Amino acid sequence: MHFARAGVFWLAAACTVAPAMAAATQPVEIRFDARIGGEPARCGRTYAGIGTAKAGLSFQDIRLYVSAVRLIDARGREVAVTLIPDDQWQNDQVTLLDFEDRTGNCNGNAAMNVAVRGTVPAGQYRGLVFEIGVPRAINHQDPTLADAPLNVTGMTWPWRIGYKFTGIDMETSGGAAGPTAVSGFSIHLGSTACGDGPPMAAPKLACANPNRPTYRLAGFDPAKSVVVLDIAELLAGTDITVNAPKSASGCMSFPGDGDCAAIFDRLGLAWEGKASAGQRWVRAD
Amino acid sequence: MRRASTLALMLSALILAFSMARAQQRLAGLLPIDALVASSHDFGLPGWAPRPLEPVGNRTTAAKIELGRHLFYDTRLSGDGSMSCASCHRQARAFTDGRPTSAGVTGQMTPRNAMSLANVAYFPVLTWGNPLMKHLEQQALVPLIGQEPVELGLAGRESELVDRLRAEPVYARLFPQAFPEAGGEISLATVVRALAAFQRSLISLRSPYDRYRYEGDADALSESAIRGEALFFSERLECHHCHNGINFADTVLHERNKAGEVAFHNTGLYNIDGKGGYPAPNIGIAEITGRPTDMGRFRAPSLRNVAVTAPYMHDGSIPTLDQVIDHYAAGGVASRRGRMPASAAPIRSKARSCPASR
Repeated sequence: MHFARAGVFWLAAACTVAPAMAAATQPVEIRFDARIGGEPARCGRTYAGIGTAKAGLSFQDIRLYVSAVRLIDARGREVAVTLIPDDQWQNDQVTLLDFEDRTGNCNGNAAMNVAVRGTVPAGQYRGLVFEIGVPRAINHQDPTLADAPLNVTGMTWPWRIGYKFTGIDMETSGGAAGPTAVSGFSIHLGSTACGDGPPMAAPKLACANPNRPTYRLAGFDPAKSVVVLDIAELLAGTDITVNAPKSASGCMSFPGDGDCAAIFDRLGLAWEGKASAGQRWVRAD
Repeated sequence: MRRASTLALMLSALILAFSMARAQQRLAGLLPIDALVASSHDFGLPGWAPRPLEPVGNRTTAAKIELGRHLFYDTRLSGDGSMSCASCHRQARAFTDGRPTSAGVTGQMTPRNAMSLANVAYFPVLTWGNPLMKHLEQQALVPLIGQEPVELGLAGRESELVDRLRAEPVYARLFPQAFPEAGGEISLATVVRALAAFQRSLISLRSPYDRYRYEGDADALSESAIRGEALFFSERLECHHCHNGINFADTVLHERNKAGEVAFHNTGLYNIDGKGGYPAPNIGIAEITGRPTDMGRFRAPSLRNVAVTAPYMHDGSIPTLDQVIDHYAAGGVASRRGRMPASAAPIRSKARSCPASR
């Protein structure tokens, strides 16, 4: 009885406190752009001089999931961005960035999404931290019943039972391999070496290779800055006109895939036990 | 500023309420695929056969099987309308396709041999080399929307699929009958659930061997087949270690074995590096688990209807059953090329005890 009364009191107190807490938050929009060097990376365009073979490139898909978004405040503390679920691009844990608009040879849909939208405690922020990837707790589920943005079939990875964190699909041309060059190259990042676990639920043990890179950008002002994902930089150490033998087209995170070594290094991820020298493709503009 | 943020919060609360309502609405219709229970559907099983298990979230009904049967043979289930599930799973070949590996709609080849679907309801893991692939509802997504390789080529095109199915009058009747709880919704979720129900109904029992062994019909087998049975189950040939039980497979699940048994084996088919290495991309479940000891480990297939499922092995590399037996009689054709890993031990031990292998 005593406890019940205390509970009611606590609830009432919480209700009266809520408006004051609301006043202490501010909306925030973190803008992203996919680029090839200085150019926006978009469907229906061609790009030249890519990778070690200075090859040609056009896109078929450019989508990726970002999560664990935090801003760094004036005292250097990380403050979580509370996502605003919108039933299309983000739920409360993950945002789908979509740079394809189905023009040219692109798959997908006309709509694009280039920002994470949320709220943070009112204040001044000077840096950004985020991950690319779908959080482990929601990466293994029944994708046919999943809510947006995890209901996009182009981003599900049925063989791995999870999601592709990056769905970057490209057509390539030229390069030293000439007429025998491969015509397609993909970057599909996702968790691998996930142990056995309950069906369509988060595995009991973390995947040995979660492959969720974390990026930390100092000097990021959400009001002015844009997070640039430079795919030319990501591919700078790779010949995109060849495919490592007996491997999927491009780098699909498959252990042993020779196409992944330089790409993982530039993503900032270890590959086959070798630590990354540091990410090279994400910057604040 | 204060008013703007209050507005944003109210808006986000509204959106949250809306998305939660949507999620609840979906859950009221279709359940997630999770826990398994014994099926209460009448599969026409003989009395000695156990009932298969099925997800609580997708109980088998005659209406679902009927819908799944239509979908299984429907080329609307491919990107360009050229292929259906049946293109690689033909009933006359026990739902295999007679090819070493199969081409999808873009011409891209699958890395592995199309598996038989006979008695797939009795398998707790479904494919040659993926210990995570436990439910037919999940497995159906691999050919439908998988992209490495592209098989039926529907990734990102499911709304087109739904439109095509809506335009076919038979489905206006079959979807509501199969999924009354979801209002007859045509979606990827109902399509894969119906396909799974149909596949669970592909039960192959009462072979001559079953009649001989379980039904007391002494005349159902020839004398030579009975001698073959003795060899098959002998400790000299040891075939039965990997091929036993209702499916002649050591991976099995049903109402009398609810815990299930899961086994993956390296049978010494390859040894490309002297350390038991298999050629990529078919490196066995090591691809999924990342464990070096899982190199070359694949699931033993069922031997039901095996005479019509040639070619054999995970990569279709052995054309005839005779040659498969030669492979095992040799203790694994690659076993003498360098040291084999401990995971290939079942074959190595047989090689030692079987005079034919020396």
